[in-house]
Amino acid sequence: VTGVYPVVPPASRAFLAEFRSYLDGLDAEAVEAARTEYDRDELEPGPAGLELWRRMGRDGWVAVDWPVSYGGRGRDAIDGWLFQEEMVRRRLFAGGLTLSSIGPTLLELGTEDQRRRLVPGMRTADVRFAVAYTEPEAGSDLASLSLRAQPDGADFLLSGTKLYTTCANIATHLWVAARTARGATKYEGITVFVVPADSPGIAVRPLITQARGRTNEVVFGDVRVPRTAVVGEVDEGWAVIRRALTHERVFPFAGVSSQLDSLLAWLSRSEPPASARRRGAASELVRFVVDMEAARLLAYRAARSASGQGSADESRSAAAASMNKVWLTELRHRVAAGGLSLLGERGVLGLDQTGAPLDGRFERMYRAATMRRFAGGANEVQREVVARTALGGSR
Amino acid sequence: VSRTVLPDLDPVATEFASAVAGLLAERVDHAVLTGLDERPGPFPPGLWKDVKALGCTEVVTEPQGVALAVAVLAEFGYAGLPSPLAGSLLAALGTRVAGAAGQVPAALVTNGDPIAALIPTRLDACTVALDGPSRRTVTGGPCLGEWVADASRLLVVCLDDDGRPAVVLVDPAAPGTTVEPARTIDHCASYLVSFAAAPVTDVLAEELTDEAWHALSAVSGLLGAATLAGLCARACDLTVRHVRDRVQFGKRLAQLQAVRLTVADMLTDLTCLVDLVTQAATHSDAGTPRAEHHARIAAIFAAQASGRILGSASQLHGGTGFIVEHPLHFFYRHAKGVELRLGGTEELIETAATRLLPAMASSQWDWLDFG
Repeated sequence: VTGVYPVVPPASRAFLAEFRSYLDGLDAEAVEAARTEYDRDELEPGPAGLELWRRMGRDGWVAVDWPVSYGGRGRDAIDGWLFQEEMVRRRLFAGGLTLSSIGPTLLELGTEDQRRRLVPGMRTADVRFAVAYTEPEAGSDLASLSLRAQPDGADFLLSGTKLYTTCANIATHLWVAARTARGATKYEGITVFVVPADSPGIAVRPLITQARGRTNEVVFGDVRVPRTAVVGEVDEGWAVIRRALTHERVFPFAGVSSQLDSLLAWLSRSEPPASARRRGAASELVRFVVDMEAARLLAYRAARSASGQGSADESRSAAAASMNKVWLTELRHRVAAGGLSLLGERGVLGLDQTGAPLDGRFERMYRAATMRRFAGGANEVQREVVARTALGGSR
Repeated sequence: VSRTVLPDLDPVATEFASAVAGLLAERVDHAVLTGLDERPGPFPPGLWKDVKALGCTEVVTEPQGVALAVAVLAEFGYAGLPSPLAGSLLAALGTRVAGAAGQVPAALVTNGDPIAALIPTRLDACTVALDGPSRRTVTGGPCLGEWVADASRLLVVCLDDDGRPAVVLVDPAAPGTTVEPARTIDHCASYLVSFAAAPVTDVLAEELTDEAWHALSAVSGLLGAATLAGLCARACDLTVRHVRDRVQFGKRLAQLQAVRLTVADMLTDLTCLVDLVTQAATHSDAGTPRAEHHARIAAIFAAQASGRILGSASQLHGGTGFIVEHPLHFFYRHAKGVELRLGGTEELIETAATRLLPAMASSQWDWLDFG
């Protein structure tokens, strides 16, 4: 195939083939154990998931788009995206925000000391971050955050509450956005800190989700952190957050497409339930496939944009990540809900239940699917980002 | 250089589309579209001459023929201009992908005169029969066709004596062919064509295999999707301009959140449509195994998204876009016309269900395979 788009460069295709070959060569039992954990909760790795991360890090097969000098492979953003897609396709934890967001941000904006202390351990799962942005009164309106960081001698004292800090219970460090000053606008006076998760004064309380997963409330009671914990400049953390969010905004489609593949295969193999034999069931599947194909191309557009190889149409590429996020997360919910309906009565059976179609994974997917629409920047906010490219307006 | 609807196609196609966009921007205005709306057909002869002079009818002989064709049709869509070019390109490319040799038959490109393609959604609408030692005739119809009065030849897909699809050419002026103008949803010149032992001038393909027939119908969908991409791109541009200018409640519409979110969805739909058409054309020219599937997906997405985009465009324009002094109605009506001429969204989906789903379920479909 020739042409400008949407053709992945041969070097990236070769990279993907090599990566697949590496993954195929891993111990099958260990991989399956990690996959079982992933099916229960794709956001929080268990022991097997952490061990896989460690093993891949030792083998040089995580953080592929980081510079070679920091243990990466020096690959471009397209390959970084393909790495994530392949891991998600195989239902394996890919290092979460530690590798996708915090690592690259520290490499860009961290001090040499921070990079030296934190980055190498990220590749081997010895340094694991949980991101503490959201607060009870600051959700999509993130810049309204109010967790205080009060100067105290050479240190800061952090006090306040963060919500939905997923992985705080297994993290070694917290990435905390705090208010250090009242600026002329809410975007000023924010500072980002790296805080060891075992610091005195930190209390982590589980919040169990409708997906049977766990996120956390984290209460900071005068937690003392040194000035060297500041990322970037004091009071100028909004720029750091924006950079971290930009890195975070790669939304792999393969989690949805692999579920769709499973559904198609299951329906073609099994004696389908009445719900899947009804008139219109095949049409519904075609609609999923068509919208999945659109999601796939949006993801690639976003990856190209992130790699600086944007499309010839700059205005569309600028908003590609937001379009991708909205389209994919809403499709995920439709596939989960519609797919579960196609599975019929037994679709109610959850993970590990005898007779559950597709091992109950669609039941789990349905429970979890709504979260993607509001997490990582609510879809309404993402639509606003898209609208801004054509209609103007302030953030 | 004009902005083109499909900027990520093969550079040859994009450059050509830019020239086409320039010509259409200069020559097609509200009066031209209104003229076609009031009296559809014939296509303005001077404009057809210029379209031909630019080389639009010859693009099908290039290796990037499909990319060039979708690039050109997208620009015609952006201009809101239905034309005999759509049928001519479909006739040539459809025959190319369906033919074993992969060549466009010379009968379709020798002089660049319009060809009207009659590809009924029901294959048994017309039949071709041996009517004497070397004489074949077509019988059947009525079939819906566009720009038939402009056409030098009619390309007809029909069934032969053995029930196999065949592609033949018929002279519209020959006895046995009845052409009746039809008033339709849009400003595309449409006709109902019936054949009563109408003589065949050329047999382009006989005993088409199922695969060949499906390849032909998929290309038909792709070319329709390209036109829809152009129509949708213009509808988005018109809407963005309108909501930025129009003041209500003391604010520009573009400042109202409900309006902004709707525009975001329109732009996302358009982006997906542009990428899907681009992908399908690229694969079609390369002749990859997935070409048919990508073309079908593009057509289905175009049919659905154009309904959403044009519906939102109409809503956000309100009364302004509802009166014929504003151009939006051309795009709103023509988009539905294009979708229906492809058989309608549900028909496209039903066909894809029999073609696409088995392919995906039976093979290792790799979503990370980007060619």
